[in-house]
Amino acid sequence: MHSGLTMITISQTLLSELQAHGVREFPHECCGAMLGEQTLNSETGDLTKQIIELIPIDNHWTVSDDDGFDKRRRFAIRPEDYQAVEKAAKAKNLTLLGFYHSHPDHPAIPSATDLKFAWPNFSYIIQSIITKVPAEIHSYVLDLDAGQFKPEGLEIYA
Amino acid sequence: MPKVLIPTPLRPYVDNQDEVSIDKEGPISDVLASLISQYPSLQNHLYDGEGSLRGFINVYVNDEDIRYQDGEKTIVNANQDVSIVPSIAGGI
Repeated sequence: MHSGLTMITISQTLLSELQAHGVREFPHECCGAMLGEQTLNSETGDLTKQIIELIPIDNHWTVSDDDGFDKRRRFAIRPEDYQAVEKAAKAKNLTLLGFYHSHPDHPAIPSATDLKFAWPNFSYIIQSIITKVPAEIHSYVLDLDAGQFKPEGLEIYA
Repeated sequence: MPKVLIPTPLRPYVDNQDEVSIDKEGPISDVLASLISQYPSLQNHLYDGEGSLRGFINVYVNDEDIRYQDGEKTIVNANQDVSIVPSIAGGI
């Protein structure tokens, strides 16, 4: 829907929270919601999203869900948890910007599974955790026309 | 009138509203059809090419998943809320 460039910003404090979540759950994938504010530059059409709060969510993937893989390679958020973060965003007058998850011992590159479940207009931050240490982190948005993810700018500020 | 609660990723297709009132009661399939007639670009996000509700969408009528009721024949009455809830998942 949005056609300009998108950029998402996160403070070093929140980034540390996100990474600590990934380390805590290692070797399983962690997941959570990102609430914040969006600003559209009407001249350039560029959209900037500022993460204001992270909501860690339990990974409810079960092996029988799909393909035999467990939480080391998959995550799932329950519908009731999804509804709770939508309600939290509304109560705080914030926007649900998207979701983060970790890739344990794997690069921060979206997988076919990530793409299968991707929604438009959300940011998907992927944090790589290698042997329990945070590694690269990237953010992606779904490009509906191309049917694949495209990277978005991720700015970390002090 | 029933209200349909729109999840964040689909709001750009309904003029950025978080809920839409539908002037229609009856089976959920009719209520969603009415919603799509107002906002046609929702069609491809809710239904696949064969006209079935997409698998990664959960639909609730008053907090009850329609899969555990009568599916798309589940009746929606006035003053009931319909929630469209995306499945969020992924992995390596």
